[in-house]
Amino acid sequence: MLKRLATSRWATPLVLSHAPFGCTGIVVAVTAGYLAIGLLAFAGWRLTGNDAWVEDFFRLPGALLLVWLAAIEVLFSLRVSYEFSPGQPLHRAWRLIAFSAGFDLAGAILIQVLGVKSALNPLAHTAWWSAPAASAIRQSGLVMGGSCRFAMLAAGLFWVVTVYRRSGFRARLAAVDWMVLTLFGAYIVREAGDVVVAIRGGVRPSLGMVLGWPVDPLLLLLLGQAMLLNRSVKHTGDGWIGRCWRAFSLGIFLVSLGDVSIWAANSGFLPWPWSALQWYVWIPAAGAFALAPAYQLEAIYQARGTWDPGVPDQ
Amino acid sequence: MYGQPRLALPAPETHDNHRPVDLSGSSQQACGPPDGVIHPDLSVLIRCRDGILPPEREAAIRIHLAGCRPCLADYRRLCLPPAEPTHPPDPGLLARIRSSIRNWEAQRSGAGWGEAVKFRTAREIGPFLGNNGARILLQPVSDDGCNLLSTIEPVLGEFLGKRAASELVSRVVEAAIVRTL
Repeated sequence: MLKRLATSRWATPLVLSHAPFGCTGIVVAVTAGYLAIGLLAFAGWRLTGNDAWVEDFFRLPGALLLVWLAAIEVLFSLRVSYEFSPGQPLHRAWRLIAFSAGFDLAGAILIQVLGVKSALNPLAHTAWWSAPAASAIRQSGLVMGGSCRFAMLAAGLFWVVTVYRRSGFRARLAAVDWMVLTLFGAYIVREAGDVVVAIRGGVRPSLGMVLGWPVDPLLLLLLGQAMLLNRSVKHTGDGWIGRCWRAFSLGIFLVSLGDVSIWAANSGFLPWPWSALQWYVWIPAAGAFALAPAYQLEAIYQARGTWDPGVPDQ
Repeated sequence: MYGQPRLALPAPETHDNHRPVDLSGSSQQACGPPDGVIHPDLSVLIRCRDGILPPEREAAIRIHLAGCRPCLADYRRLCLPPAEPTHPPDPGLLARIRSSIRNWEAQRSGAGWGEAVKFRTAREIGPFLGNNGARILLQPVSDDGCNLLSTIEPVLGEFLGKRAASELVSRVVEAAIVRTL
């Protein structure tokens, strides 16, 4: 059923993959356009003092964009996975990446739509709706879009790194990469220390919080893989295949940046209202994750000399 | 197609009184047609035309042809003289093919042929793997280029899937080898 969905003709207009400049151009244009509108909304808030500018942007168009980008990532990742034969490492990689994208989509729907009181949320108009229910929905969305998504992505990228190593294209990490990884590691140790102090102080973490603990170590692992892939792509030179893994690297870097900036804002290192700018990191990050499989599809279609998805391998 | 079991056509009325009889060239034909008559296949008709069937088989075929219009039509077509070619044969074609083969062999054994093919291949696969990636991939290719395809196709297959890689390699062969002849 997933195969039919990913390769169906109705999915083509959804992703506009027959556009003359390819699907990547549309993803970039839409993401950049939304980001520009979002920053204008931020400027409107700062100029007028009315926070409805930013709130309304993230509740409606921002939420729709994040769900759309996650859906694009799922669809494209599935479509890419059907281009590889079972047993090929990148078939495994793209299956895991598609699962990761599926968790991302579920998380985006739960956090951006169903966990918020907005016009998009059908649950908000029912008697069942309450603040604790919304919080539980958001928490489960965070687990899906966090630990579950990143674990799958890390497993998928493991196979990608394996393919790069086997083909002789894998490069080594530079000193600056090791430095960034060390800093991120120190940040994780610091966060773990904060958790230990809080627990000793009598805080009882909820199940959702506990399930969210693997996020930062997984991000460290992903950051290492992203840097390795970025160095490898730099080593081979710019090509259609490398753009895909570079887009993943950018997405992971932006997510890590967003993660650190949340901590920095909560710890008072980023002053209000400028700390609100960290919300905008998630838009290009989601765009980069949607772009990655789109680039891979472009590479495959360029190799085949056609934009027609045709009949999958399996 | 010769040698293939023919589609059994409905037998004409004159067949109604015939006993089922094996007229096919192969005794391995397991299932008979719905009308109970096994029609001779093209190879049997050709052998009948050429007169190389045993006399009793030929007689049976002739009886069948007398009563089966589709088989008779096939048989008559087989007996027609071969059609004249619409264009006169090109007397220089064979010479040109042989000359091209000799040129290709001379180029292939000449110095720099392998390097030239590697250069053109790198130009084709560079947009996918990156220029340095293409260079790294082509490093183990021998000077005569004999292991070119076996070197590039598995790696391209890993990154693009087997089908896309195979189509890309076909284009590489076209651009890097065939068009240079």
